[in-house]
Amino acid sequence: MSTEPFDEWEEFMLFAHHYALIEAWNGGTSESSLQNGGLKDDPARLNPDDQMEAPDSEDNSSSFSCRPSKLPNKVSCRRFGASWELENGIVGHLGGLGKDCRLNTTDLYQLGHRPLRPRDAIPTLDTPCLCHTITSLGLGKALLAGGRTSPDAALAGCWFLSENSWRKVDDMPRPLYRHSAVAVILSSSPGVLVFGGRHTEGAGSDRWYLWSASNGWIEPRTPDVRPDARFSSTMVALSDQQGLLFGGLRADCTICYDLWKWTLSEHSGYFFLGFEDLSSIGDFQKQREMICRVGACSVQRNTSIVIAGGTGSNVFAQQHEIIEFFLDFEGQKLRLWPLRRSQGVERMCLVGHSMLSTEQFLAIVGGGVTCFSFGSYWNQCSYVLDLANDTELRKGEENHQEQILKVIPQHCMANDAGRSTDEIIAKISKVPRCRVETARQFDRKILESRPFVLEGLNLGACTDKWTLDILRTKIGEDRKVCSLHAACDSMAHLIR
Amino acid sequence: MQFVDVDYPELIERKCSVIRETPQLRQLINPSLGLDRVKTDSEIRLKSEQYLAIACDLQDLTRLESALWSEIDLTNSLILFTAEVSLTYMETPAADALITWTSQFDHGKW
Repeated sequence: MSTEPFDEWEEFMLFAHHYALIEAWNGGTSESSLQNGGLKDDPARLNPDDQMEAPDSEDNSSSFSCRPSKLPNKVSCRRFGASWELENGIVGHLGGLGKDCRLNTTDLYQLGHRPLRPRDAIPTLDTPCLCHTITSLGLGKALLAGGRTSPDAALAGCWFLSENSWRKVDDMPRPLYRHSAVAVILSSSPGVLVFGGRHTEGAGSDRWYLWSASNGWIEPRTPDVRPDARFSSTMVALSDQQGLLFGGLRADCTICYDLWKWTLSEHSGYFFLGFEDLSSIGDFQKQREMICRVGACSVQRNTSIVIAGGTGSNVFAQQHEIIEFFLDFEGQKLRLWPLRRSQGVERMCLVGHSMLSTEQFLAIVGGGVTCFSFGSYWNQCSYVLDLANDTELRKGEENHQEQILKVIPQHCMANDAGRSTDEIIAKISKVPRCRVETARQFDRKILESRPFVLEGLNLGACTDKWTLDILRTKIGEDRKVCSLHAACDSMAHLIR
Repeated sequence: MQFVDVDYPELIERKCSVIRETPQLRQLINPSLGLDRVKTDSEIRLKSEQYLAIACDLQDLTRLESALWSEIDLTNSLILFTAEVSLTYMETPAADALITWTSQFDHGKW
């Protein structure tokens, strides 16, 4: 007996959160077991606010206004894609699951008030992927690592984006998806630190991998006491060589309720990772269910960390979906406060989403869920969170209802290196003709991704039946049937 | 106490096959009827002291009722109804009809 490969953890948890137990009976004599303290004293029930209220939420809760930007038609709805900052105020959102298929394209967004200018398109990837990571390394460079196609097909491939083109670089030591990645600095050059993730067979990874352009992938030395294997955890950098790790799901479906500080160091040409277990800092144990999530996004903002979405063992109250916390290492304190949406701000789906911080904004793109057998929900908007408490900024924005987040139109890339987009000249070439005998031959032709004419096929009775008279009757004399497809790159993808 | 299992004919047949082919389950359930795989139109596919497998689409309440009555004295029984991954997948009118049907029993409970 085989089981279907499964990778819908957040949806599974959301589904379980909505499990209801209903009791009904006839007659008046029966007494409900629910009334007699059966479930009444159960701590993990009905009112999540009671247990999740932050201690100083009274004085420190911030509210954010959120500007939804409705996605225009040509921008894809995506879930489990990855986003990164290309440069100040410009972000890309790549891959993920689209409405019809897995995606290998990138949408570009601009945040801020500058005039919108088109840019060269980010080239499509060879393989569509989801649950991958893209880490910005500054100066327009980024590393795309891992991901998967189907849940039992993890990818090890990595691609480096530079000068607006992808260059294949070293494969990860093992194919991984749902891993975490942050940018670090090693020996004064940028690198990417990867932790956790899920293997093709479903097991969680507890390995740490470090990538740099000069060394490829290496495994830093780690001590025996270190974080458990897990995937979809939250990792954030606090500085060039230090950061936090928390949350995530183990292969046995238990959530990791822990908080670690990692420190990367270099000595005599070797790299080391040190870990500090912060699970007894301040009120962490009381707050752990709010902080430790599965599939949450996080960004560092000034001195605090914002966590958005993901799922936990209990339903998050609406106002706790996005929270901010601050760690005071000196005083061994943890302060946490919910970021409440201000009035009139719609709720967004915070699963399969991606969040970044750029300029003074936080942007949330993508997101959506599938409720098994009942259909999918997609965020139809991208969201800009304005966390500024500065009244001057607020006042300024009231005056112009301008979109802060805009989609950047992408120029098609020139086919030949060195030619600018103004110089593309259409070439007429003959479409090759061929015969195929087997399904395998047909598949190989498809992989070539070039147009071809198939000769000698048995198309059935239509070759005799479809006379001009029949076609005239069925289609009509006036009907014009002509379809022209133009593609920007040689891969000629028609599905968008 | 008897556990009455109601499901679509294809699914209940599959379940009965598993019971028939698994020695531990056969021993546990110890069916008096349905041990042999006999093609039958009868709704009762497997019967034992503590387990009854009924093949019936839950939208067909007449059939369900007659199948149950043929084996159980419904008026003098305490009945606990449970539904898991069944009602939610039915069309609302059919699910409503089923729930209404269950409410006719004086000693019924969900």
